[in-house]
Amino acid sequence: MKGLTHSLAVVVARWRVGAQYEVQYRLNFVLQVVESAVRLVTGVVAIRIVYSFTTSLRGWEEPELLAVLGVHILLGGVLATFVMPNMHRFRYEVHQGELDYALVRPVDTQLFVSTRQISFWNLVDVATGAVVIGWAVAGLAGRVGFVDAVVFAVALACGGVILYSVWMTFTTTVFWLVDLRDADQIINGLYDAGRWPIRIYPFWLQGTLTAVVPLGVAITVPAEALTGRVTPGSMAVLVVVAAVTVAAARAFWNLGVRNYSGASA
Amino acid sequence: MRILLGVYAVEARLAMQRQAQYRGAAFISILGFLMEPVVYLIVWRLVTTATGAIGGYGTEQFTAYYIVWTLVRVFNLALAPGAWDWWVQSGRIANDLLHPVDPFHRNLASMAGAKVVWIAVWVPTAAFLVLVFRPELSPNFFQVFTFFVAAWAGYVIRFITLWALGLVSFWTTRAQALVEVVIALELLLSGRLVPMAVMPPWVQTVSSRLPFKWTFQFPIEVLIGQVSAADVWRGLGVQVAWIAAGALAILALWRRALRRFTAVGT
Repeated sequence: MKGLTHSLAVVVARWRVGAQYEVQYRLNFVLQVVESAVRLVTGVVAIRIVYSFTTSLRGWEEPELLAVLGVHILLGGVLATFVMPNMHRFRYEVHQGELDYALVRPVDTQLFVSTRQISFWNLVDVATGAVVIGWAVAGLAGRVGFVDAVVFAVALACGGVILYSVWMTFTTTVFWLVDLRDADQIINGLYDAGRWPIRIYPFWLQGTLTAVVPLGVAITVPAEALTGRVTPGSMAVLVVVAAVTVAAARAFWNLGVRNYSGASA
Repeated sequence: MRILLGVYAVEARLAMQRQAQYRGAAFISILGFLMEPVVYLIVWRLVTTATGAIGGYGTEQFTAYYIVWTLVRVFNLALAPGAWDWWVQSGRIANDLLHPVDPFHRNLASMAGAKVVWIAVWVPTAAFLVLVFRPELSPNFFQVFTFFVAAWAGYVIRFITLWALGLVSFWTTRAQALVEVVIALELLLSGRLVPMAVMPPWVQTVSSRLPFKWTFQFPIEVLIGQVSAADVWRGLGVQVAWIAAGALAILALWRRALRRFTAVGT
C-alpha cells in the first residue's frame, strides 16, 4: 500500500511538472483549439449528411450518434493528453537504448513509463468531447436520468482503461518489432471506426472491435449507457474486457522487459 | 527536358527498388487505412438499403465507389505537409538544394515510383474487400485507361497542392493549424468522405471549383461509370488546367521561399 501511494505521488508530481512545462507554449493552445474544431466539424458534418437522408441507422437516432461522437472525441483527448506522449517516449527510448534509465527507477516500471509526460493542451479535446456529450444529452430530451449518468461514468472509466491497455500492449511490441510507424495506421484506423456505434457493423467487425482489438466496445458502450440503450450483458462484457486488457497489458509488459537486453553503453 | 525525363525515370526506379524492400510495411499501412472506407461503405449501404438510391448512388454504386476509393487513396499519397516542418526547421533541406535537380522533381518522381509497389500490395486487400462486399464493377477498356490517366493526374495535382502548402513552413514554423483546415476541407470536398452527389448543390458547386474533387472523386467515378464519356474528357481537361495553374504557383512561391531560407551546418 505504501509502495502504491509512493508511485501515485510520483505520477502526480510528474503531471504537475509536465503541465507547467506545456503552459509556457500558449500558442499551442490556439493550435489545439483549431485542431479540435476541425475534428468536431468533420464529425458532425458526417452525421448530419447521413441523417439528412434517414432518421435512424439500424435503430440509432441522430442525438445518439452525437453521444458516440462525443465519447470518441473525449476519450481521444484523454489518450492524446495522458497516454500517447508516454507511448512515443517509450518507443523512442527503446530505439535509443535509453529505456534502462527508466527501468532502474525505484517505482513500478510500467506505471512510471506510462505516466512520465502529459500533453496538457490536448485537454481541449476532452472539453470538446464533454460539450458534444452535453449537446447529445440535450437532444435526448430528458431520457438521461441519474442512474444512466452513474452507469455512463463507470462505462467511460472502463473505456479509458481499455484504451490505455490496448495502446500499452501495442507499444510493448516495440521490444520485438522496433519500428511501429506502419502498424500505427492500423490501430488508429480501428480507433476511428469507433466514431460510429459498433452495433451498426457486420458481426465480424463487431467481434473484432470487441474481442480482438476492443477499441469499438470502449466507445460504444459508454454512449449506450448515456442513451439508455445499455444492457447488463454489454456492461458485463465491458468490465470483463477492461479487466482482461489490463491483465494482458501487464503480462505483456513483464514479458517484454524480461526480453529487453538494453543497448546503452 | 530530356535530361529531366531521365532524372524522373532514375528516381522512380530507385524509389521502386527501395520500396520493394519494405513491401511488408507498405501492406501494413494499406491495411491501416482500409478501415476508413469500410466504415463509410457500411454506413451508406445501411442508408441506401432503407431509402433507395441517393443522387444516382444505390447500394451497388456506393460499394464500388468505396472499393475503388482504396486504390485512389494509394495514388493520392503525396509528401505530407508535416514533413516540411522537419525538413526546413532541421536545415536538412540544404542538402537537397545543393543537388543540381530541383527537389520538387525528385520527390514527385520518387513517390510515383514507390507507388507502383504500393499498388501491387494493394491487390490482396482489394481482393478481400471484393470477397466481403461483392461489388458490381465491370469497367470497359476506355474506363480503365482513362481511370489510370485521371488517377496519375490526380496524384500530380495533390502533390502540387501539398507542396504549395508545405512551402508555408518557410514563413512560419506553425503551419500546422492551416494544414489541418486544408486537410479537413479536402476530406469534405474531395469525395473522400462521401461522393459529392450526396452533398447539397451549393457544396457540389464549391467542390467543382476547387482542386480536391479532381484528385479523388473524379478518378473513382471514371472507373465505376458514374460520368459520361464527354464528362471524362472535360474532367481530364480540368485536371490539366489544375496541374498548369499549380505548377505556375509553385514556380512563383518556390523562389520567394528560398530567399527566406538560411542554414548553418557542419
